[in-house]
Amino acid sequence: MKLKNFVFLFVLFFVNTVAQSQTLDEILNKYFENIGGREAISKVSSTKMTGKVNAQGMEFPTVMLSKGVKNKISFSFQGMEFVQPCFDGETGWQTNFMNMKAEKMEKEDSELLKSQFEDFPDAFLKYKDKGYKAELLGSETAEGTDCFKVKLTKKPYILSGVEEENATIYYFDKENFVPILTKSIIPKGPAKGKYQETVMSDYQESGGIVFPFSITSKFDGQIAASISIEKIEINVPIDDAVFIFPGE
Amino acid sequence: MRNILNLFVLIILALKPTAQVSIPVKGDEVFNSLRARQIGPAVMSGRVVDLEAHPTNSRIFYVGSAGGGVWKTINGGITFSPVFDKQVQCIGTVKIDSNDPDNTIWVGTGETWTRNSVSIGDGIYKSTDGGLNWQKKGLEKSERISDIAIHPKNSKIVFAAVLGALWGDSEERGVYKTEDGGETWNKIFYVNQTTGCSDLIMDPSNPEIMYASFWEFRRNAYSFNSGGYNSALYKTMDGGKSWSKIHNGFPAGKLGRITVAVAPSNPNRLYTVIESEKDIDKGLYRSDDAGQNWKKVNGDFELVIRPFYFSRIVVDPKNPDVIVKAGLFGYMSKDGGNTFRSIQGGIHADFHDFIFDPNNSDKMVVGTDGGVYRSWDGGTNWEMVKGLPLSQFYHVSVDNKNPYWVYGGLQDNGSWMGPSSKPGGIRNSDWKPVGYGDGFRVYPHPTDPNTIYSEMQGAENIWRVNVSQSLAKTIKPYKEEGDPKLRFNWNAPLSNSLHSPDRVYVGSQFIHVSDDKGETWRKISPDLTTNDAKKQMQAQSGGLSADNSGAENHCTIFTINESPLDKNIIWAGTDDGNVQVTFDGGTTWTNVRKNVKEVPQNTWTYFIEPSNFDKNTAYVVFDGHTQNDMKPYVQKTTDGGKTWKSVVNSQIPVFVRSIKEDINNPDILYLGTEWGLYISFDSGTNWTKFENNVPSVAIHYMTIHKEENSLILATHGRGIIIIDDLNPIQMIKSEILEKDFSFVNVRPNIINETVIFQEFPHVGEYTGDIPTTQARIVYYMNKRHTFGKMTLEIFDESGNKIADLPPGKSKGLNEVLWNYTHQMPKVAKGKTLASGGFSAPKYPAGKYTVKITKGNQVYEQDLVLKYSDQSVISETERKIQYEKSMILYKMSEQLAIEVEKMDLLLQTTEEIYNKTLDKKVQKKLNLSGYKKQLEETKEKMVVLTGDNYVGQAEPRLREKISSLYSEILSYPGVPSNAQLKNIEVLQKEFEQIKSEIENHVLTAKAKNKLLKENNILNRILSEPEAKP
Repeated sequence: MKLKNFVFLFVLFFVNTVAQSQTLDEILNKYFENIGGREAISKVSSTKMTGKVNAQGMEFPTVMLSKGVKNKISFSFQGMEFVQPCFDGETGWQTNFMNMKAEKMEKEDSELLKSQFEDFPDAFLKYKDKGYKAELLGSETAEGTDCFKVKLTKKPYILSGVEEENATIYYFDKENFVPILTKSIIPKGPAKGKYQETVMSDYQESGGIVFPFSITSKFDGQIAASISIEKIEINVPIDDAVFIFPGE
Repeated sequence: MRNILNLFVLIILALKPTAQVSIPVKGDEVFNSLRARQIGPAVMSGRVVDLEAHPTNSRIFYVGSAGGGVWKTINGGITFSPVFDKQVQCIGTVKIDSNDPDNTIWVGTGETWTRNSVSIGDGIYKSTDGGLNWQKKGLEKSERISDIAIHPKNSKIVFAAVLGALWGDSEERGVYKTEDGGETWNKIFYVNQTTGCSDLIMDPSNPEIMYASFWEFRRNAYSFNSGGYNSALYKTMDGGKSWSKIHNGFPAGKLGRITVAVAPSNPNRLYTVIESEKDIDKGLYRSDDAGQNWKKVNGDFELVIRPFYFSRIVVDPKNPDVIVKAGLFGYMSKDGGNTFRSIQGGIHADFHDFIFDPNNSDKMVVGTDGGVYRSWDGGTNWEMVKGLPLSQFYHVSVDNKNPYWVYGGLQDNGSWMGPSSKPGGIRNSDWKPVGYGDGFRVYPHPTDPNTIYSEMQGAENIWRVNVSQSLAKTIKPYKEEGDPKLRFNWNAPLSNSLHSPDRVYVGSQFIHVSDDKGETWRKISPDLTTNDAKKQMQAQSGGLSADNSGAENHCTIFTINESPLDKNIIWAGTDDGNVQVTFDGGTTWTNVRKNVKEVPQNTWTYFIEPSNFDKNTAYVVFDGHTQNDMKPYVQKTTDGGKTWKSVVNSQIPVFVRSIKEDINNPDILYLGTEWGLYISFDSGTNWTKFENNVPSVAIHYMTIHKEENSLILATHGRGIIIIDDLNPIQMIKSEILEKDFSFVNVRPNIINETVIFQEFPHVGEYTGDIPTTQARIVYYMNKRHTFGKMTLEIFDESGNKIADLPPGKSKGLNEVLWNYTHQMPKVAKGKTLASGGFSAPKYPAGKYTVKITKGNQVYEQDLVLKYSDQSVISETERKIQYEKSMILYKMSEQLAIEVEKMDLLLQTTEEIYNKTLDKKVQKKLNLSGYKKQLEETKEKMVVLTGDNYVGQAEPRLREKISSLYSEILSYPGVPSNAQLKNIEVLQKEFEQIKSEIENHVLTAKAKNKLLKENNILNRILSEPEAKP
């Protein structure tokens, strides 16, 4: 190959790469701008979300508490609280529906929860510092709408001694630059290897940050459950004790 | 001037019918939550062409099917998931990259078992995430990819064997190599336009060594040829740069299909099965020196039968002497091919591929014309996989039962009938067989649901089946005196009539009609075909191995279709390209094919759709694939066949087999193509693909259920697929697409009252989807809702809000489901859960209002709930049930309030008791005695011990109310007398408790007085709402 051609190709490649990364950065910049700014988001240390879950035609009040990596989701019905699940930073636990007692989850599940919650308050915040990789995979229609497809790859899971990819694909609406759909691979269990889809909408401001107030989880194209959030409180004091496994 | 004006008007009028408004629609922006449902079945499954085992993990293997895509199991074969739905469903080969076996998978499309009904592929695909996503990696024109070989050290180096076109010459055949993971390919070995690569095997110990067999073959609509002087077995020792024939010991003369296998545990041991000119030479050959010399070791029937259809040898990964050959059944040798035993195990015939478990050769899997089977004992016994809905329907029809049943015949799997819906899902066991052999067209009698007609290949038999009595009478027409031999297509036309219930049509080269359900027949047409003698030599079909199955019968009628508007208009299409029509019930026939200008001569007339709206309008589907022409051809006439114009364009990528005109809107057309369903909203000007749960599967036939307004697809590889309600599609018009928001009128919402009895999970067995039993709210939005609040509320006729539902936010069609039940009643807090807290009465039939609020926009629409016309329960009965269950509903809520009241009394009593240290005061107050009384009452109200399983406590009032309430709710009619009496018993019990509580409150008030007198500021709560 002649040197001139080589240089030309090299430049093309380089320009292309720059254009790509700029676009990804642009998408993320606009995203953060639209949801309240990186600075405001990085100051979020806890959230309390109150709303209701709609699943299989039934509706239950729910409270979701987040404080750093600690997280607790509880539902109430018939005056009783069911935790599904809670993570105290080390251990995941949940209520057994038969005896209504708290039981610890399998150790691997705790690791999965950790990976899920350690991104609080936002997975894309300083993602490079966290050792994550983000890639722009192009455009695709999701929810009938033209979207940017961004893949965020985190540290792999180790499941049954085997390393498994830990990635989520975010579909950023090209008009609003917020994710309206995410797809992540179910890491274990009977549906291992399939996509779990989460659809987000009703973005609204609360305490200076814009959150999706409607979250629907889908599997095989069918709705599994929807959460309608009524209230989001930011940086409310949450006692660490609420996350701790209550014992037998 | 007036004349000019008249002329102008005339011109305008003349233009009007063709001035079609163009409605370009993008399916992925419009259809969204409008989904088809798949009902399978998997009871007979379908043709499996290739299996691929993970090299080390025996939990994972892949199934490649003839028409149903690629399926993956991650649990050793208990459950399977389709991983290739968006791509072409006709598979040639699946290959795992051993360098990255968990993630990198290649699929070569296009089946290589080249029977008459085989479909086509469109290239090679690669996944790098275990099958979740696929990228097309070229070879688009290959049509059939037989093998893929991947360099064991370098994933970028991949070889693809292209068998190529079945119905024509092709330069795409041969061995291709990529060195950049599939971005670019080079053809590194090519023989000629008629001879393709049928096997490509890499030496497991040396990737420079490969074996490639080449096969000279050709099929057309009326014959098949296997063999020629170009079929050969080649070897390369330099990674594909040079190839040489390795025929030392091979028979002389023409050769046919040659299969080759290398023993993984001894790469010098090779096996080949050769189809040759002389029968005596046909059979299994073995080489012990890596192909330098060959010796015939066996010529048994199973080794030589139908090489075009069964041609695979698999060697045990651990033992070079153990081989299995796919054939009519399985055939296994344990002594290097000298002797064999059958391993059929009583399962479906026509084996195509095997895999051995990489860690235990006793565990085997086989793919057949009837799905996948597993063996744990080296192939002696087999167990069927019941979760692979690969059923290959040729046709579908429906009846008018409620729910309606579907009927159809399948490739090598007989004819079946099954319900379109069943509480809990449609199980394999819900399907009933109604024919033998290969099944094709099945029709129910239009007015007698107990009578159906079915057939087998080439109309060898046509049955009238009495379903309830399990009786079948052969009713086929026979040749009458003076008749020539009757010629029936493999897939012979059989149908009932839209106008005369007892009429049956059958097509040979003539149209035969019976008006007494097949007892007597008369011909109503002359020979409607070209009757070309050159195309009637099927007895000589097969090439080196004669194959006269009837599959190549030609110059036959293929489709017979009555006009729904006029019983005297009958259209008939022939496999050799004629389009015949009669307007006088069969007295005179006109071949209008000469008027069709845009379609090549003799292109198969596959289907004719006479219009529902106009007698002179019809659509004709021509299928050219058996002439190596994969283009779509659909022609429309509006003048009874005099002139024609195409209604398809380049948006349709492949040939078509069926079309349906919508029953409400003639501008809407549904197109069944070889690669999925397409819909046009503007009479064929624009087309868009419908992908929501309809894979890119061959759709051989479609029908519309008029009463249900449903579209039913007969797919050749993924069973029956249904779009239940066409209303949302029928409403799509330009003005709707432009509006911000539009509600869609859906078909009536019928209140579901059926009970679903306990069924245990049938893990691994396929269950077909059923239509939702909930009420549907459907709307179209031309923009996705992302920012701000959007709500969906439902109001009753008095304007009370009765439900809040999460609305769909997608651009396009959104479907929201409402279960038309009250909110669950409030239930008293106890130690355990009460069943009544999970059930609530259904709202009665009537008119409701749906209100969607999106920012400051409000959209409202009526929603009507109805009871089923078939229900045996009267309005009065339902009213009683509703009233009685509401009594218990309210009792449950009242009890919850009373329990709260009691809890407050108990709580404050205890607090004061704990704080009151003065013994004298304590004695005077007697709080411990009061507390005990309160506890005794509460114990009658709700259980305070036990759990939700076997630790259940003795039921208290809450549990008794809850049980009775749930039991009354479970039946939509009048509660039993015992139940009604029991309500009274519980009411009395509740009254008794209430009076006890009243006494406790009075006592509390008295004690409050005492507390005050003793200067104790706290007080027992006698009013629940007042806080201390």
